[in-house]
Amino acid sequence: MTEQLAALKTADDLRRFVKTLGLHLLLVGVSMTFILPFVWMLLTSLKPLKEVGLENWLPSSFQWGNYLTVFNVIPFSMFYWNSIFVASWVTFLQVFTSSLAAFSFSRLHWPGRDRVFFLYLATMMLPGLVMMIPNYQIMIKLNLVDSYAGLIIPASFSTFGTFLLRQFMLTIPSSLDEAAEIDGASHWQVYLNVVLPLCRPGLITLTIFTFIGNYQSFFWPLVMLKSVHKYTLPIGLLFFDSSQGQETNLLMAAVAMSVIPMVVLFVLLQKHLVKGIQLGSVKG
Amino acid sequence: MSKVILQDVCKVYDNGFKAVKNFNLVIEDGEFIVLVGPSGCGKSTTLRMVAGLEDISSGTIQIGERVVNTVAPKDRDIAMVFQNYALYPHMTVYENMAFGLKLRGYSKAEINKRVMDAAAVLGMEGLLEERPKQLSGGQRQRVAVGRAIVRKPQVFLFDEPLSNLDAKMRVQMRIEISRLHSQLGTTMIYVTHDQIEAMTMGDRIVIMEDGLIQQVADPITLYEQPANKFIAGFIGSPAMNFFAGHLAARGDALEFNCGGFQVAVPADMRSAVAARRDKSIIMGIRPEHIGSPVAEQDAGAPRVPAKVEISEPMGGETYVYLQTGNHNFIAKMDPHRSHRMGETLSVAIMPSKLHFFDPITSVCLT
Repeated sequence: MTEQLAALKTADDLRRFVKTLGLHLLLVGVSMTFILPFVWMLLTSLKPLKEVGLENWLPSSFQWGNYLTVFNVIPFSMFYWNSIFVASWVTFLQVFTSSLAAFSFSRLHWPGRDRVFFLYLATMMLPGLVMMIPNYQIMIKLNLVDSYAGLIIPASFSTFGTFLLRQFMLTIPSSLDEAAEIDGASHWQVYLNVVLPLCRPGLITLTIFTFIGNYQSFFWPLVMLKSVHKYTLPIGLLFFDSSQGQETNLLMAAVAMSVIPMVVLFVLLQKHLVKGIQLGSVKG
Repeated sequence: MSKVILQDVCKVYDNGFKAVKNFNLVIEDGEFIVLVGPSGCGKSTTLRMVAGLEDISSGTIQIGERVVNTVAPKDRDIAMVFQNYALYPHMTVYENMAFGLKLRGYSKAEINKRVMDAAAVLGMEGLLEERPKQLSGGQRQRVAVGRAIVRKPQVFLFDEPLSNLDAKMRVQMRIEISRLHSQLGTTMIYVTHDQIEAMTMGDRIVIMEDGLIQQVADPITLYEQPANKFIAGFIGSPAMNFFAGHLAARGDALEFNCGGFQVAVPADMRSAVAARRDKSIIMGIRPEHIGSPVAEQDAGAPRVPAKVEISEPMGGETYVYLQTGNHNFIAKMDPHRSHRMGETLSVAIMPSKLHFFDPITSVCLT
């Protein structure tokens, strides 16, 4: 009987091991689909131009100088700074305006509040490309074409951001607002001292999404910007396309350097992102 | 001066629901008044109207010399303790208590003094750097009380502050709040659904039902002279026993008859119930006045034959659940006597402790 039980225990262990192994293999396989393009990009950035596109992934000799050449071929540092500048301002303003709107939609009571919110939410159904021409016409009228303000202002408001933060704020008990009111807080002070600090995971989530989204934005800057010195990185990288063909190795080096801010931001804030995505999904 | 006067106060919501109807009450300076009633009776709504967290549909509320109908909560000089504590989770205990004072522009020295004084009163000096999530329920409630104390308001408002605590902590906090009232002497308005809290803490109790005040009285008066059947059944644990029966004339006397037993109406109650002669009536008697050692001492007391359903020994007394005819009732009996399930016995009633209620209006006739 004991031997039979021991054998059963071993069979159970084996089954569990096979199941875990299978799961890990599946996860490794899926991870590869995400990691391999990145690895290919890094290795290509270290190749001489003539080796780009060949079957062997590894360069015959590592061309670390490609990373310096990028700065000589295009005004890379200027494009870099422009992208960070615009993305940072958009992130700050979008988080600020979204949090204010979310506060109004979740904590304040005014006639038609919920109807207005749903109408506002409905605007998310409109594709960005459909809005591009009317937005461009508004920028012309406001004399904001080919300006940083023209990139920043239209992107400073976000329905998604408002929705995300509203969901967070709905999880905060209204008794906190009431306690703060009795303590002597105005609506602004309730927002600043009570509600906003409690929305930290949501604010960080929105910061990450907004920064990464805007940093990678290509079409709107392409439409809006005429002056080369104002170009952002996604447009600046087009310079690697010339009449002689595409300098893919330099392009990959530039791309590798351009993702650094996003990676840093994500690494620093990732635990808040996970918490933010979880907590934001409570009640509507 | 922190008298609170509520005059004809009504609250009607947008959908037409009347949560509070013609609420009239004068709360004296320094009084501890308890609003008690079942869920949905309007007690919290009334408290929130005093706080300014709900608009008043009609009537006036006066705190001190001022009518405060349109005054913002922060300007009413009140402090409130919430059922779920409502502590700011991202602030320490010290910061929670100091927040209101900081908003009002008090100096750091004054804030520190008030917070330390309040912490000393509540025995919380060692907790000032903790955050709410590190505290137990009782400690959190004490912080909530401390946050109210530092404000030195004219009126303290408590909205079911002990509901989220376990039974033992509830007893402890009840004593602490009562002690606080003795120390501070400030007017306190306390809302609860627990009649034991109401009876043990209040100078006066306001019982509410369906948005209306049923009775306002001190605890003993409320217990011994309930104005209607609802109050009689709500106050007291276990609740008062009710027997539906008939009032019959026996010469000059009146006799209550409910099928299972008959009880002569005491002479001093006859005139009060005379209008119900030959009609239905409800008799009420508290468990401690039926079958108790005191009741059994009277050899001439009327007796009720009954069958034992269940017996619950509580130590100091035994609650015996009995049945007679169609009626189930509870008697608080001698703890040294044991009773078997199904045993038949007769229990003595104290006639002087009877209450009679109109079966249609539920008003207490005696």
